[in-house]
Parts: sequence; structure tokens; C-alpha cells
Amino acid sequence: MTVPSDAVTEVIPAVPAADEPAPEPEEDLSAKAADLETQLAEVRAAARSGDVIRLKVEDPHVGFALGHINVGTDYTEVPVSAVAAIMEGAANSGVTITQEEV
Amino acid sequence: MAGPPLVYSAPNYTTTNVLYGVGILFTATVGTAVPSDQNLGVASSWTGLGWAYVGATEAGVTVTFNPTTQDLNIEEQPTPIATVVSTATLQVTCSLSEETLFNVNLAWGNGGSIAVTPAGAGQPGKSVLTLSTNFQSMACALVGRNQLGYARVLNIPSVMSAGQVQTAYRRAAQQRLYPLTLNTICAFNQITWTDLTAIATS
Repeated sequence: MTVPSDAVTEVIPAVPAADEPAPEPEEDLSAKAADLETQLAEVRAAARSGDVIRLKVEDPHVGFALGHINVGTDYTEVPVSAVAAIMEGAANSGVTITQEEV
Repeated sequence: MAGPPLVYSAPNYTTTNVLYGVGILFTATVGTAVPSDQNLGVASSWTGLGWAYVGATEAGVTVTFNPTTQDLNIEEQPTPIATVVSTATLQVTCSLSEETLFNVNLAWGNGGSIAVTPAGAGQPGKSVLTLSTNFQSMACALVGRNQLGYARVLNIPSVMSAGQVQTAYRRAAQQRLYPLTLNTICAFNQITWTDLTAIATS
């Protein structure tokens, strides 16, 4: 059976009516992924860094370095995870390290 | 009757993707943040966050990835049905040309400590490196330039310095060198390459 050429067809409006809500813009997935990766990197860095305590070097020394961690004559924040190694290194070097009282 | 002509057509290659140039090696305490994307290529942004630049090297920096694979075989087939990675190492190596106590310690396991004494009456100023075999882990980052002229960064969150170090004291033949071998000790999926590809839109 064929459809007559004068059959009624549904007309779809090209422009939505003014009272209809505008369609949601397509989400930029790559930008969202980049944001999430940035947030994950920040969380990982925070998890790795952990707590810190404050140490300083006593006379006659003016500085002490263990690896990349430097302690000066003013109280310096160091990761808690590094304190044991710092104290051991200081003892081996004859350096007196003081921890700030809290 | 002959068929259509046989064509040999090679794909184009991109000469601008062929890169060269030195890499800048930074090391830091494990967990040290890397600069923001905007500043990945700015040296002072790295040092300002606590990263230490290793300085001049004899022959640049070399990155070596060395996986050891295991073939899985079946009797019915002469070729392996799969090749799986059994072990893998990633090393960053260079020969440090700048002889500082920091670099000596870095090459010798990064386990030593440096005590600084100021000059005083009857006391010369001095720094004393006390060595230790209690090697410390650290982070490292290698910053190079990509084909766009922006930074490309290899970030390894945890490495240990554990290479053989041999330094020759020569009159004039060469400078004193400290070979540095950084062995990756973190999970492979924690290592990232970041490639800057375009300027921010605002």
C-alpha cells in the first residue's frame, strides 16, 4: 500500500517555543576529566605530605640538611615522616635539633 | 586485460616531531607539589616549591625503561600466545658535573646529612657531609621542551639513588664527575608525562 502524496504529515517546528526550556549544553567531558585529574593529584599530594612539625638547629650550627629537607636556626616545618631520619642524621653529625613545643 | 595500476604510497612524516635538547632534572622530597600547569616550564616555579636542580651534567640526562617479559606458550603453537611483563625498571641517569656537597650526597644515595657551621672566632665556616647507607627516597622530574616550544614533564613521585659512583680526580683530562642513578620505586601508574599543548584561553 502506498501513501498518497497528499497525506497529512506532522510538521516539526524548527525553533522551540519561547516557553520551552533551552536544551542542556553538552558536557565537555575532556575538561571534566582534566578537572578530576587535577583534583586527584592534589588529594594524592596532600595524602603524601601528611602532618608536619617544626624543628630548628641550635648553636654552634646554623643549618642542617638531610636530603632535600633543610632546617635552619628559625623553626622550619618538616614532614613528620622525615623526623626520625633527621634526628638520626643530626646525632651522627653532632648537630642539636630542637622541636617546637606545642 | 591488465588490472588497475599498483600504487606505492608512503605516509607523510613530521620532521617537527623529531625533538632534541637537554632535559632539566629536578629532585625533591617525596610529596612535593609540582608547579601549576601554567608554570611547568618556569625554573623558578620549581625551585620555589622546594625542587632542587641538579645543575650541569657531563652528557645530559638519560631515561631508561627496561621491562623484562615472559612469553606464555602452548604446545599447539610455536609462537607465544601472550607476552606479559614480569619486571620493569625505570632509571634516570646522568653524570653530575657540579661538585657540591648536595650533589655528592645525591649521587651517594641521598642518605647523608649536611651540618653547617658559621665562621666565628677561631672557627672557619664549614659544611660537613656525614654519609649514611640509610638511603632516602625522593621525587624527581625531568623537564624538556616539546615540539610546540612548551614544557613536557616526566614526573616520577618516588625514586632512590642507588648507582655505582666512581669519580676520577684528574689534572686536566676531565672534570670530576658524579654518576647519578635514580631507580623508580613507585607504582608505574603514578608516573606521568605532562605535555603543554596550548596557551590558556583567558
